[in-house]
Parts: sequence; structure tokens; C-alpha cells
Amino acid sequence: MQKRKIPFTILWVILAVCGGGLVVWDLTAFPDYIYENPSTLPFNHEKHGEALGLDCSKCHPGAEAGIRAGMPSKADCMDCHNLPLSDSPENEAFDKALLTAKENPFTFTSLLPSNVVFPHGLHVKSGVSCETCHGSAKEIDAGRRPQVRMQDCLACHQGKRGFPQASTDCARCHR
Amino acid sequence: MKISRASFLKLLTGTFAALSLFGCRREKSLPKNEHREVSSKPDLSLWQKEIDEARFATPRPESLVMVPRPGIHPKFPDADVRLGMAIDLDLCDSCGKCALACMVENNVPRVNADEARKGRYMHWLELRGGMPVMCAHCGDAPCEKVCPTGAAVASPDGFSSMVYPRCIGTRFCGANCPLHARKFNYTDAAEQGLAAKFNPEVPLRPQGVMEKCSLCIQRLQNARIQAKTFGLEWRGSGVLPACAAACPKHAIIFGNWLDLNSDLVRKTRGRGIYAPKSIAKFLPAVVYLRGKA
Repeated sequence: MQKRKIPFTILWVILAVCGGGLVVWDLTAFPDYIYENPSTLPFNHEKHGEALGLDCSKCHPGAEAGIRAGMPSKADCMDCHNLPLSDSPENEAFDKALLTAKENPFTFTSLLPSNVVFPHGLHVKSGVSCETCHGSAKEIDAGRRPQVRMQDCLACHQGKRGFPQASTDCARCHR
Repeated sequence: MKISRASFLKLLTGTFAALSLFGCRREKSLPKNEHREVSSKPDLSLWQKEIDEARFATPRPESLVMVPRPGIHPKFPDADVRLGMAIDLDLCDSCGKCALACMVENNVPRVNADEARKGRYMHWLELRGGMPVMCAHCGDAPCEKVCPTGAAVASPDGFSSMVYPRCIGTRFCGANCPLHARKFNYTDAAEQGLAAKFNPEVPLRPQGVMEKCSLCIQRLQNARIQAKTFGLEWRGSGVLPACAAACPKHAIIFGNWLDLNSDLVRKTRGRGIYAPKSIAKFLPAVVYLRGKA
């Protein structure tokens, strides 16, 4: 057998580069997979929620009674952060960041298409907790965003997820 | 490293198969119906101008025939809500305020000069010979019968709804509507700067999607959500579509045909109820009032 001119290692390197390229393309084509908090404030859900016992609706207006849940403004943070809080270095760092922050430091683009209405209040009322879709405070801090798929909406509305059955009429949610 | 040609090819195909499988490992979430960048402070007079232009495109009013009072929706015999409207032609002086209110409420785009020449206005509520004409929300709707994807679908609340992401643009429904109440997005209005986001509650329809009067479904949904928040049963009260709210003569009456105490039923009692001749046999929920019965 004649000796090969190109060693196989070069072929493997080419393959590896192609594979790496595929992964990079995948991550850039679907950027929601690598979610970054657009705010400069180092906010921690776990410390506010589970440690202090604050409800989600305390900072997200409408999360438990309205149609849409909002994001807190800087003034909402200052309600508590004006008070003498504990002297931990984290608190000082946060206060410093708050001083230079914008008026509305937190933004969130809805994951729902604009032609769908999701009344947060009614879902909370029928026993669906925030964690069901958004995950626990720890997961939110780790950058998890809820994956919204109509099949999940429908499975729940058809009564397959342990919650009371709800309407599956198109015009109830789509507008 | 020694490797046979056959096993090299096997490895190669195997690697590519594995990589392509890796590429589709994740279920994509719903497509982001991105809130498109359109002007937020549009010049309302442009919309008013187009409504006045469209009057010339449809100079003849629909011919009306008398119909019985709309009742139970044939597809939902057990429902106790059948939303509808009655337009009092004795009061209407065709000022056109309803048409403008409709466009502003539902982010209805304008059309370019080419489309206008063909009469393809997007107006959900048209003034045909001065008579406001919109989708009649037929019970036995001819448009719903021909939709291949179920985008045009009857709601148990008794109106005909439209699910935009489902629409693939066959235009069968528009062709089958005798009233020509359905409007097709032949062009991308947002791209041409002809669309505006007057109302953040309503999505902008993309190119290639059919649209029509929805009875201001966003207002109905919000009213239902509000009633449910208070633990009440919603039967179509406490809400008005944009056209009815804008009418200075209160000629457009909205309500629930099956609620005997609703405005709609009380005000249509003893009146002559008419419907456009072309759709009179399809049990319309939007009817016209004229004279006494």
C-alpha cells in the first residue's frame, strides 16, 4: 500500500474545527440560550426572596393580580435601600451600583409572542405558582429563562399537569 | 495511526450524524413575535385621509334584507354568550369616526399607492356608501369552512376569531367571504413605514397574513380577565369595541345577544333587523337596524 501524504491527524483537526464552528453557530443563532442580565446591578433573587421572605409581587408589580408582571424601577429599590441595612460588603457594593444606575435599571423582553395574552393574576389565583414557569430563585439567578411553548400551555389547560382544567378556545389567549 | 478506508468513512459519517443531532438537541421556544420598530407618534391625519379616499373606492352601500334576531351560535348550542353588534342606520350620519377609531385601536396599517389603486385597503371597518361594514361574525361562517389550517375559527363566545401565527396566507377565506370583509397583507406595511403601533395590546400583522374585524378581542379578553379576577362570571358586559365607543351618535350597539337584559337586546326590540343580502343566510351576529319592525 502506498504511503499517504496527508496524515489523518490533519483530517481530525479539520473535523474538530467544523464541529466547533457548528456549536458557535448554534449559540449565536439562538442567543436566548446564553442569556445575560442586561442590567449592571448585581441583583440576587435568592437573597431577596427566600432569605428576606419577599413576595415576587413586591418588586414585580402585577405578578400576582395583574395581567402582566413588571420590573422594578430604581425608586422601588431605594424604598428599602435607603434604610440602614446590614453592613455586609455586598450591600455596600450594591448601594454604590445603585447610585450610578439608570432610572429603570432592569428590563425584560417578554418571551411570549405579542399576539398572546397571559394573565398572571388569574394563573396565580388558580394555584399556579411563579416557579411553575419561571423556575426557583436559584435558577433565575443562574440565568434560566422560562421556555414558553404552546404545548406546555395546552397540556396544563387540558388538565394534564395537576391543575384545574381551563379553556382551550383559541380566542381566549390569542388576539 | 492506521485506519482502513471503510472505517474512516464510517467514522466520518458517524461524526457528522452526531454533530447534526447535537445541533437539533434543543426544542426551540415559540418564535419571538418581535415587537417591531414602527413609529410611535404617527400623523393621524394620514389615516383620516386614507379613510376619506377609501370612501370613493366603495361608493355603493350593501343591499340589506330583513333577518330574524341573531340567537344561539349553531356551533355552540350550549354557550350563553353570543357577542354581536347592531348598527342603527337611522342614527348613523357616516361621519367616519368609527373607521378611524378602529384603525387606531387595532394598529391597522395604511397601504401604498399601488395597493390603493387596486382598492386593497386594510380597513377592518369600511364605509361603503356611507354605511359602516365590517366582518359580520357569521354563525355558519363560510370563511371558517375553507381555512386549511384552522386560523379562522369560531369562538365559543359567538364571534369568528383569527389566529395570526396559524395563517399561511392561502386567501381562501377572503375569496369565500361574500361580504369581502377580510383583508390580506399583500405588502409589509411596517417595512414601508405605513404601520404604526397605536395600541401596544394588539400585535402588528406580518406580510402574508389575513386579518379582519375581531370585535376588538383584546378589549373582550381584558374585560373577561378583570371579571374573573373579581371572581365574577363574564357575560359580555362592561366593554365596548372601539367603533362603538367612538360613535358620537351611539349608533353602534355592542352586547350579548343571549343576555335579555343587555343593551343590545333592549335597544333592538321592536326595530327592523337587517343584514347584508350576501351573508344574510349565514346567521350574522353583526346586524343593521332601520325603522320599526
